[in-house]
Amino acid sequence: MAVGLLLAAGGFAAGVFGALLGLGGGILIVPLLTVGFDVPFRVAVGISLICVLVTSSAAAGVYLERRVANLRLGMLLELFTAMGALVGGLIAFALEERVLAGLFAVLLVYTAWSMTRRSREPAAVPGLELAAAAADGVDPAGPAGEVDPPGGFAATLSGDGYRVHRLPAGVAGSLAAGIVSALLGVGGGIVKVPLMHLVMGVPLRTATATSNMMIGITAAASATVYLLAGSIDPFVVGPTAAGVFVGALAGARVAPRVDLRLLRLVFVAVLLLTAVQMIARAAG
Amino acid sequence: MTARPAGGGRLEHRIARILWTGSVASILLLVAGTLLLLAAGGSPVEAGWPAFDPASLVPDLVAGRPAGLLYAGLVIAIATPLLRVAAGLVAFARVGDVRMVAVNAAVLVVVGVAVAVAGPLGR
Repeated sequence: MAVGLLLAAGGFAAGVFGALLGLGGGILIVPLLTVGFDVPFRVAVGISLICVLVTSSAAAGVYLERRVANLRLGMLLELFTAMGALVGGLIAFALEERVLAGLFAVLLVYTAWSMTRRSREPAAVPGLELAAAAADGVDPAGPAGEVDPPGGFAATLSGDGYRVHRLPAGVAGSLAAGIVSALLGVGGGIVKVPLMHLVMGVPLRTATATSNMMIGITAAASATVYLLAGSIDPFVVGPTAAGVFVGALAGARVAPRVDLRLLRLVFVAVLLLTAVQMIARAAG
Repeated sequence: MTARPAGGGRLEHRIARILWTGSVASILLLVAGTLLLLAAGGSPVEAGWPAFDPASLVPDLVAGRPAGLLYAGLVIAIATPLLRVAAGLVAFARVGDVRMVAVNAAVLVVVGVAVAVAGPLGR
């Protein structure tokens, strides 16, 4: 009973922090399970994929209802994140867990670094509310450089007030995001949101919402691999996923009233400490 | 050109309903399975867990076994975004958007390939 409550409480905390800080929660769930409950790394990744899957499905529903997500663009790119997830899921079973832990440490450091970079921006919450409308800073005509011809396929993927650019780069980045997601049990927003926003010219709010929508298929492809390979422990998933789901709801609700600057600094420290523990696992 | 696929937002509304219903259903099953497990004196972090067997999913669910409810929750969680893709495929087919039909069909094929190649990985 106590372990179940601890798992649910840990999941709740991961959900709250994930929603407050604009992360999917996977970056917290894998360390929580491996370091806190001694769950094998690959099993923790499978459980984390289910958690981000359930949470993102609920959030994506709200985003779509509000017409924030770009459905067509998301549907196209998720084909490639799903391909990447399939490949990543298979690679995960070919690699030693020590290697996966090392890769996760790299992801933690990258996430900490990116959080310090955006410490002056409001969070883009992947929960059930978009907490803030960040100043997009995107030229509606798109970034300088290569531009798709008018009437091309990319034009049919564009939304109100912006055009989608550099589709090949988006496809390649989506493949990479899918691989990262399946290998490490995260939603991959840390790759997809900057990709869509900075490279493809999609406004930040739309990029965040569209990335969230894509997580469902990405995680479904990789979670299928983990489930059929017997690497998802249903007994641990239950309390953890329920905790994450409720935590994400709660986090999204309180996000507009929370001062995120100090929270981000604390979180960066937690990420770096966790990275050290993951490196120790990789070395041990 | 805007990103409106078909029906002036009806598709988004239909998909939103699918996603919300699926995620709530999967969470309810996961919670129910966990409560049954705890009520039976089990622990979530026991040494092992029953392997996923699609054939025993419905009998376990009907019998109210914790693993049955939990695995049903997992399957619904995974199936929910796939239903969303299937709904998109049908909607785009209705308006004759061949490229988006092909994209959605390809997504389902990728997941089908995942099922085919992951089976042999089973422990």
